[in-house]
Amino acid sequence: MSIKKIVGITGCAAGIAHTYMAAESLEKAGRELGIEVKIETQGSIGAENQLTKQDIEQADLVIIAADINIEKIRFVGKKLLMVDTNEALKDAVALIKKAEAEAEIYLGKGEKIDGLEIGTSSNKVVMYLMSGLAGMIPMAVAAGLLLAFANVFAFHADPLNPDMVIWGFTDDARGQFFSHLFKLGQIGFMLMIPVFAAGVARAIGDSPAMAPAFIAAYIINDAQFLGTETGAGFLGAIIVGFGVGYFVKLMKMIPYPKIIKPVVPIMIIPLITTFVAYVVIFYLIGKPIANGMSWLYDLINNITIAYAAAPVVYGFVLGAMMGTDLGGPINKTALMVGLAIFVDTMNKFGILGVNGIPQAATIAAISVAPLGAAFATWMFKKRFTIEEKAMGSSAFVMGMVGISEGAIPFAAGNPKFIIPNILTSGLAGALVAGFGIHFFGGIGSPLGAFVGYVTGGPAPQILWIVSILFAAFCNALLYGFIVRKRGVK
Amino acid sequence: MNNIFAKENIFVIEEPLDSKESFFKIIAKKATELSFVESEKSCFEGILERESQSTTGFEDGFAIPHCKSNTVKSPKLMIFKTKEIPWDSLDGKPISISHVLLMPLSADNEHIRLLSKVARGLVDENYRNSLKQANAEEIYNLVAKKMEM
Repeated sequence: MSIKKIVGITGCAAGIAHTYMAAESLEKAGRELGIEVKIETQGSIGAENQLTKQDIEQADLVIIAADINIEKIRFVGKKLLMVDTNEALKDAVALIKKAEAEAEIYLGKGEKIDGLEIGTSSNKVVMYLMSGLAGMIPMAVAAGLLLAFANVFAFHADPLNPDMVIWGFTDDARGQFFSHLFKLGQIGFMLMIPVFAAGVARAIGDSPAMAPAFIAAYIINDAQFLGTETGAGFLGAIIVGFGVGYFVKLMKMIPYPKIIKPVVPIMIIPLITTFVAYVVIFYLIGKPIANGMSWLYDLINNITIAYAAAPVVYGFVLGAMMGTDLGGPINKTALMVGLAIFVDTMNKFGILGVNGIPQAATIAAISVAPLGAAFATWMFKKRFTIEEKAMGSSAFVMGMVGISEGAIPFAAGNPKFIIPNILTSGLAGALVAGFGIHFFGGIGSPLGAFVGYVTGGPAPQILWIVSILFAAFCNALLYGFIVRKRGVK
Repeated sequence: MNNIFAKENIFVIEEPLDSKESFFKIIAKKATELSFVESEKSCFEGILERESQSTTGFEDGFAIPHCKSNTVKSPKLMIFKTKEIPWDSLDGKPISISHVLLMPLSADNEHIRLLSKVARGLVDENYRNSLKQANAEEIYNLVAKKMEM
């Protein structure tokens, strides 16, 4: 496709010179190449030569040449390239050629829609928690799947009563192999808590905070050490991560004498922080948190057993949260709750008492929004533009590998789509939770039934796939309803 | 006639300059002499700070250093013709003609528009070539025409 029209924005820090020179260069290059170029200048006088909705619709490419932050929400779904002003000044013809080759469809990740931050979070607390999760999730997947795999071989016929299946590893070579693999998985689960806390603490206080947080989170989760029934689990790890992180940040502000400065980050800070953490955990917060968590998880398990509707309700809530901001802070919170309950109940009750249902609800919800968007563009071909159909295809691919962000361009382009995303993501969560499916690890899409491990309920794999696809289909119908009045040639 | 640009704002510097910094010192000194700025030091620092963010050396021997600061009293354009100054410009060539823009933190839109016209003009090769050939008098006429004064 040959380029007919390019729109763009230029902007520089002072807003007097480069903003206008870059605009001039691009317009001049457009004349040389025979392409219509319209550039909005965002200089110190404000926006001039403003792009209209029509300009943007007609444009084949968007080029932003700026040294400052430029609002981009107008360009969701357009092919966009961002550079600094000097690149436009240097050789605007080359820049246009580069844009033709390299511009990518702008998906709107990180944009705010009606006050909702989509796809990412600039909230510091969420960012710190995410740093912890980033280290922990691969561990949860590796340990969770190996544990689940080993667990399959723990069931065998009772030698005393061949009609009965009992749980336990046999004493032969095979049983040894799987029992140790199982143990490895358990160790992984135990270590996830310190890894998470260390990640949070490092994000706040940098590397000196890692070791103290790791040790502190280990002891706060060690029931024997605390003298309690269970450890303080995930909540304990969050408190340790933030506590240690900020404590280290404070320690760094002390004006140390020059001579000891080199050993401050490797010795003084870790030593003092770990000691303080020990005192605080052992004498102050360890036991109450551990007891509180123990009570909480008993409660969750009890209501899950006692009230059939309970999983449906929390499954819906967690699923709906996943669909709200598609990778934003609400989504991450739900994800973390599901994972926390899974890890903590694994540590507390073992594999036979683990509660992977909340996690099943959050993970099942991941792909509902992007898959629904993709299905909508296929089912209601006449109501979506060519760009939206392209975004639909990429949403499908992203949905199938469990990336919610695939639905962002749709939500950014039309905030009304957020409502069906919320409802149907909640539906998927409610369905899998209602069926009693537990999720151990894998990808958050229908493929998770094979590339991952789901269990529980009468036919976990099939119910998993059907629940997600059904919710995505409902999502597509609602999308179609929202755009029912649109007609695109 | 606006008060952004005048004949006295054009300088031809004959002494060789070894760096951007020594050039910026001269700019600050001249701007102070003409009482365009309150403080010579702040003016120098303002130009240097902008330059440190990314080069204002354009191409073809042209640069457009600027200072946006509350030390500047009102928007001004100064033009310096110099011996070649080594510069990390966009095409790597040394700089011999500089358009210096001085800006207070808040300025009249009309003034900025005029300055932006001069900046836009530098993208035009013909305009640059005529500036290169010109003496101080001719430079004034060329720029004034560009600003449509």
